[in-house]
Amino acid sequence: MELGGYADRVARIDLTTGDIKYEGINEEDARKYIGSRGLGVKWVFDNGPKIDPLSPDNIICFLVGPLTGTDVSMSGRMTVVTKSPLTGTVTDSHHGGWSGARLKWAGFDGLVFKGKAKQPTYAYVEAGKVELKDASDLWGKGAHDTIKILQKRHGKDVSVVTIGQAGENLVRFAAWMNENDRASGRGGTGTVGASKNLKALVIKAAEKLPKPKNREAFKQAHKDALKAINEDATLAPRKGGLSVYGTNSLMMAVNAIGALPTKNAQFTSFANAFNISGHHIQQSILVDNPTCHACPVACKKEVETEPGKFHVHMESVEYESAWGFGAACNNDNRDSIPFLIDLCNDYGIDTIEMSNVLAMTMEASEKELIRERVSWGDVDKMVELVHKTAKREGIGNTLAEGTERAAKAFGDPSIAMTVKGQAIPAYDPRGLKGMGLAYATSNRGACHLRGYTTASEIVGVPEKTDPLAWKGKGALLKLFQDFQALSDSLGVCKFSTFAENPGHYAAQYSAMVGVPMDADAILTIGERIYNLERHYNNLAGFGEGSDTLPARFLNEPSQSPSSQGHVCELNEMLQEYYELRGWVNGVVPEEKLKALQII
Amino acid sequence: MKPTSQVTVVRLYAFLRELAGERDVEVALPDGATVHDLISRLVELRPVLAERLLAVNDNAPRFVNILVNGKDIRDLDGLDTPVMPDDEVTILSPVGGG
Repeated sequence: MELGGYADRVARIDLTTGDIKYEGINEEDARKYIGSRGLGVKWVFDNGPKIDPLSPDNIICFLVGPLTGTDVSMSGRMTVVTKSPLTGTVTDSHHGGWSGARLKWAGFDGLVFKGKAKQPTYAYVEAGKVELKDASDLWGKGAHDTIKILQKRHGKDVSVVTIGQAGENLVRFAAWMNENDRASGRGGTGTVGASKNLKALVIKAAEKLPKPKNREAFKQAHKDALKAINEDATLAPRKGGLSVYGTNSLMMAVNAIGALPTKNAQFTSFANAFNISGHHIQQSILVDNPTCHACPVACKKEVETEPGKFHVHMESVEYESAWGFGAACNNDNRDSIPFLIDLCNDYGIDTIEMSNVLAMTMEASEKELIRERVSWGDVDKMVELVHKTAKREGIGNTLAEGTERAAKAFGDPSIAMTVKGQAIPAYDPRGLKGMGLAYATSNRGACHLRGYTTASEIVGVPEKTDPLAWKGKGALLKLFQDFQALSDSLGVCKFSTFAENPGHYAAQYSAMVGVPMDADAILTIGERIYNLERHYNNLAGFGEGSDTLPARFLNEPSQSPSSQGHVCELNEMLQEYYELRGWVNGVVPEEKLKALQII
Repeated sequence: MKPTSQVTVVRLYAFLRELAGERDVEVALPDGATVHDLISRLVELRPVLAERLLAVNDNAPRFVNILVNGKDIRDLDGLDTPVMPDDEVTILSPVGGG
């Protein structure tokens, strides 16, 4: 293949037979969908939208993009793409660290697993080869022990990506864990791996940076992008809010504007938010600032809590998880939050779904829908329920089905803060209108990372918009969805979009890959990827009217002073958005698919 | 400056709090004061904050976010936003991530 940046090698692994086939990248697909998320979605699409996510027929793909593992700043991302057992949509979930870069350096753009192994298996990846190995001794172990054992066996310098016991027990929102505390958390990709008896990937590779097609142009493009990062108020190393306080720098800002879902989104602000904020954590229990491949920002916030029952030393307290186990559950016990996150990481559970299912259970208990007493902020009970969920014990067997299914089982679906079966992250659509539209139209269920309008509504990127205004949010969201599909497909961290614009991406892609590209052309690729995902979901059964929000956000006004009286004007925003997308009430028409060369 | 007729409490977070060494700073302001006046007075009281507060971009500080009663001044009138007695003024570090 003529394109630069790619390893031009994919392994297709049939776990049922043990056959492994190696092939190059299809150049036409690479030009149309780039790589990583975009290419993975194409492969899942080609595998068919009607399959059972937990059947051997489903595929699970681990991918990197043409910029992954290069000199490009923030290019350490790996993507997992499959059909989700939680939502029934196509889903993609991403993590940082070094496993993505190492997969590229080991000679691969992607690994595609199908079928089901006869016994627990892990895949050892080195120098362009994949070897399937027996994982029977690892089955039943948590992510942390699995990583420790495999690093002892294969060397400290390998990346291990693994599931924990939650996946093995087919908890619907099980994650892939990487390098201890980095998760491909959302959508139950770990559950799909477990359904195939696939326990882990072990990737061994020394640094081998791909050479750009146009070296001089790349030097300039890289320099321009790095300058933007270094001068950005959010990203600037050791100066910007994200660099110093991590993602949890958001807690006080989101709370101050009345957009922090609290007590299962019955309220929009949390009186004790400071106790669980990045600011407080940075001042009290921070011990280090780990980073990922080629990232000067270092947004991970390693902590060690006080001695006691919640003592833990772990790699990062992220905003979404701190909110979920904090404000959503009315819990301001600082040390309990890293402890709960670490517990979920070891079991291999998505912290966003887990904390939502706990918050929903607390509301169910308050409303006496269930016999079990689960009080708001009862941290010991929260720990107990994480254990029970991971093991599917008692009420945990219901919680393991996810927030939406569990709320139905409890008899009141309205207390599930979910969209298309997936629970919301840490932004209340009554105080951040763009995020309401983002949740409703996300192709993987409620999600902040498909189109992060908060960047505009709070941070002011690319321009400041009023979080309480709904007009114009359709156009804003479309731009973010298309732009951020590119981050995921090129193989760079989405946080780069705080400083970089589509022009930065186009220049780096052009120079590395050798295909001339400008900002408009690369955004069209992002649009194509978003439409392919939507088309897949349409074919999978998500037809007109599927884009909606929990009634609470539409009908129950915010009570916080900053957003008082506001609900989310979803229908108005959807009209604007669909018109710009060229969709018919959420469905991609044939002419749009043709215009984007999807069919 | 006109005679002082109001005192506004400014709540600082993150960098600002560390630099100032305190969470809340009381700032006396004249009638009709704006955020611009508030920043000027705050820098007089706590000169260590100058570097963070005085860099301006599009009529708002570049390196901090200022909220008046929970509304970002960039959604109001920027530095010209009036500050009334009893207003709750919050100054945050730039944020991001998710």
